Amino acid sequence: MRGVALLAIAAWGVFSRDARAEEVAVPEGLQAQLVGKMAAYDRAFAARAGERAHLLIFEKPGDADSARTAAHLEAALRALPDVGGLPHDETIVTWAGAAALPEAVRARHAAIVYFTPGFAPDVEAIRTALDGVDVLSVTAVPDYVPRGVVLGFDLVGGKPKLLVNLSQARTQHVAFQAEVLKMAKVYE
Amino acid sequence: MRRDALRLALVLACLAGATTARAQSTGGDTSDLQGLLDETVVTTATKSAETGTSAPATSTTITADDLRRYGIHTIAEAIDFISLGAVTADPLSTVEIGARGVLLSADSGDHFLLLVDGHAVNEPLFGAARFDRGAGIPIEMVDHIEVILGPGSVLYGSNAMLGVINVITKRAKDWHGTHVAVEGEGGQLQQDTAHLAQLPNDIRSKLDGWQTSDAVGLLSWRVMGGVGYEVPLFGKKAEITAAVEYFKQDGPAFTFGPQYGGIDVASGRPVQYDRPPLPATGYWGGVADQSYYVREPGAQVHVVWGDFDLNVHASTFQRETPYRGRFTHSDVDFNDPSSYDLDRSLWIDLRHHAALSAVVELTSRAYADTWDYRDTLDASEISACITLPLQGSNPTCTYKGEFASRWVGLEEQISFDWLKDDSLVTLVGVDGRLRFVGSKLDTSDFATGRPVASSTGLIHEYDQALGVYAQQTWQPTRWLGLNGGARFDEETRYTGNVSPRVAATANAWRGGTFKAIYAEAFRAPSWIETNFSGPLQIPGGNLEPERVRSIEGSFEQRFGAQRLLFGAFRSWWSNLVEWHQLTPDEQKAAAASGQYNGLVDYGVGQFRNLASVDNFGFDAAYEGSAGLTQQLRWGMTVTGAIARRNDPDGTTEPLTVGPQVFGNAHASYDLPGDWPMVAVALHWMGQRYADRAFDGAWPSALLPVAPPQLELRATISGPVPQAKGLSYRVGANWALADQGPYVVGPAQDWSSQVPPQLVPVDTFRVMAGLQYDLLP
Amino acid sequence: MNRPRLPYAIAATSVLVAALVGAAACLDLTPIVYEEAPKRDASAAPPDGGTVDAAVDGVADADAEVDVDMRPPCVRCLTSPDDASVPGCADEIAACVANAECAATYACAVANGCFEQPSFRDIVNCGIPCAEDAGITSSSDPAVTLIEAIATCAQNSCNQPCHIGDGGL
Repeated sequence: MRGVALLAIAAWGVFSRDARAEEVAVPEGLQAQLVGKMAAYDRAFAARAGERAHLLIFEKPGDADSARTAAHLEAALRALPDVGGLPHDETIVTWAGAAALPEAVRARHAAIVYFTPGFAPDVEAIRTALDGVDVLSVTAVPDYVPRGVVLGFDLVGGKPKLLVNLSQARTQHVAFQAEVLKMAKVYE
Repeated sequence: MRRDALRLALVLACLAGATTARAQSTGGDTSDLQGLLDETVVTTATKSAETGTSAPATSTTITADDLRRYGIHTIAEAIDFISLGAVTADPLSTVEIGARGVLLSADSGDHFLLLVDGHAVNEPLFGAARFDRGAGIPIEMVDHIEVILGPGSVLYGSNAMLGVINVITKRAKDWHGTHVAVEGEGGQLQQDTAHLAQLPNDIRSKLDGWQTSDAVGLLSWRVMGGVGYEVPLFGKKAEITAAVEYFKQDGPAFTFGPQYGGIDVASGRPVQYDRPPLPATGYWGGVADQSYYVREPGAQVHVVWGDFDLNVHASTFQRETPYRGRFTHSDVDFNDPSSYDLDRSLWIDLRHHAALSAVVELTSRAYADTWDYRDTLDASEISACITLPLQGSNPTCTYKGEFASRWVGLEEQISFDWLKDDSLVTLVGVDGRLRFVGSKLDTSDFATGRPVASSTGLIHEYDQALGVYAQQTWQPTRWLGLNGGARFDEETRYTGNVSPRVAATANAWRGGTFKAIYAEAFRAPSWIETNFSGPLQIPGGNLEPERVRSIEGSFEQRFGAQRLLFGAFRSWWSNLVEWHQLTPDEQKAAAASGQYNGLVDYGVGQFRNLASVDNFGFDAAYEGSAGLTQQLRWGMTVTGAIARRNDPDGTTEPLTVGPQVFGNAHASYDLPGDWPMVAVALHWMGQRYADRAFDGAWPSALLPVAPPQLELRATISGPVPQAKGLSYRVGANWALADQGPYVVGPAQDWSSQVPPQLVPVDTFRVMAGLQYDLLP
Repeated sequence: MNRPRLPYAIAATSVLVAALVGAAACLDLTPIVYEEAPKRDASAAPPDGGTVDAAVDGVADADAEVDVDMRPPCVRCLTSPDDASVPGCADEIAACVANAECAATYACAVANGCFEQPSFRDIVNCGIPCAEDAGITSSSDPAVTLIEAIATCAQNSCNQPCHIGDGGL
């Protein structure tokens, strides 16, 4: 009977949802600390953010992974004393499509936009939508960085690794200092 | 006008100054950022990803880069040269492992739980796990190794008494392409550690015509092939990482003896230590040039597809020990290449992870393992074969033990993140297994291969094991984390066992973290201890699980890229299962009840819950890096402990084999461009009592003690110039002491009036290897 | 080989290795039941001091070793297995060897040539000092029982090589 119960639970878990390959490698608490530090190494961050850094965390509707990661990131960012040396606030925003993204950034004066798991089908559209928009895009999913998000975090050898998409950074007016680029894996 | 201009200038100056003041001034100093990037992420301590600083355990993470940089080939070497608090000992068979001053010799590694990608490797017949080449995992496939010190049964059940070691393998993204490697080790082919060259000729002549030799040559070689690719699989991306390897070692040929065994009372002739037609000289020893070798093929496959994670492992591990000892082939012919041990291991593990909602996550794991072990011993000593119907005046008998464990299991784990911010999380899990264990011991005529007796040592059992665990983590404030949990385990041979843990982590100030942990763990008695019955062993019967209780506290300070740690620990061990030699009355009772054949009335024993151990000590670590790309890295650890064993008769003595004081240090520098990386690692241990120090009745002047040991390894690695994809690694290993803490030979105690001899140590070896990485 | 096939090939090779390891056989733990070969008629035993060869079944083995055993015939017989075609007293010897005092007595007797004495009485007389040296001071000592077992067996199985019955006790 125990065995049957175990199998039933396993089956429920396996078949109750669509499988996704969007793994969040680095714990959200550590990601938040890294974002807080990395912002200070973006030469354009202070001018972009002004008096206060506004962070938007995008959540994919109906995606449990996305909701969970967004909640964790929001709590972890809220606990930071500063982001890039500035006071800050963070808001979870329900995704309304790439077309609405630039307006959302402008309307809320966002300095940083954060993409949680669930955006694999949208990364290219996000990249296109943010071309020329003055914002630092960050992702919790390492796979998104080579596809067009500026900054992400992977886990290599049990330690976090910075991932930077340099060409996308240029189009979004993000200018990381050379010192941190040497510490990162850079995608052109 | 002038006033307006002045006012405007002041406003602009204030704005510029304010912006500069508010935005963090970095000034090129990346040490804080580097410190964050040096933070380890561990999953083993709580079955969830968290930083090592916040985990309720003292842990070390050894990265793939560390393994390559410092010329590490096995888990055991990684532990010795880099890890905090754990240590291994090498009896020239399979290494033994201990931590924080406690090493229980001849335990087959059953006091440490070994995981590979979370899959428990320890098998139930002996509780065995291998930490050397016997692990069978190509080292290039290892992403990192998490060494968690202290009792870990709260989430993992049996065997996690000293700690848990989790080997995480690489994903394709971290090992992209096709990889081929070949490496070899060389040194002196014969090492006269017994100083036979100094013996008088008449004694030397009794050691099989041994001749001294200074020849150097190849001692071992290894080839490895592996891949890491992302490929489409049924319309979704799959990451496939796989590697196969073959390792072969022969030698060095150590010298042993001479030890004079006198007249074999069963034959009236000098003891026959060598295989006929070599004469019976009564002397044991010579050069073991055919009986120290390893053969290890291994394969590891890791596939990630969506939320599924599949691991497959296969390996064999054949090795021979070049001497006889108390628990190591006690009657084997000297220098016999066919008296070997052979492990075979095959397992598959499929895991699925699902976030069911923002609050609930479900992880399912299904696994199946098969492990078997063969132990072959050829003996020509008359006493060893006297009861067998063998032909000829100098017969040789073969004892072959065959052992097998097979099990399948299913684990379900569900977590509830109640507040959706990781501050209040409940984890509940259940792990059920169906198991088979079997064994038999056969004897045969070496000359004909025909059996000469019925099988003994028969075990053929099926059983079930169930573990149910729960863990609650709570972060009531930003600076305080609490963790409490317990696991209940039961199986057919003992009543239920509960293993609790409570821990608190406090971030006192920036970079400073205090931890306090109380935990308990257990080891289920192995089936060999409870059920094996042989000519000299009666079953242990209703043995209780061994138990350990531990309390520890630590303080860690991070400042930039530097990390300092200091901790103290205290543990109490009870119900330790040990070998008990039956008294004459106990033997008579056992014979009368049919537990053994009553043929001999000396040397019959049984495993019993006998001893306890008290242990306390400290450990400390310091590591750091400097340079924009961490060109310079360093680290050092030290552990000091007292561990004393308490016998039922009230005597107290130190533990044997394991060191009470030990540590390591490592440093490396990355030269720029195509210049190599230079690295040095050292490992040291204080003196250690040999395994037979306290039960061999030695005169105090002859108490077997291994001297302090210092082992130094230098490695240079880098790309081969002008050869894209090709890299090299060369190194050398030097050991100061040439003896280790194991008594070798037939003189296992003072009854033969022969001074104890200690196991030799390979003192110098060079290594060279090439790796070719073909990136698509 | 192009890129998509290569990783499959190598991964498949790895799995194949795994399968081969597993298939190369599950260990057979079926117990062996040993059946002793039928014993030869005791009247067909070789003469005093004869060779104990490998012909267990009564069929001469062409590959039998030439016995160059130089031990006294009595010792050779005593150390032969109890269930050999020419039975000996190996079981009793083994039991004696496992007892410290009996073992010392036996070793002393062998070393002093007690088993080469012309009569069983002489063997016993030669062995008594060995027993005393080994610390056997009482007939209730367990070692005495073991020595008696050897003696009884020798009387039954090794009477000729050990000269039992020709002036013995």
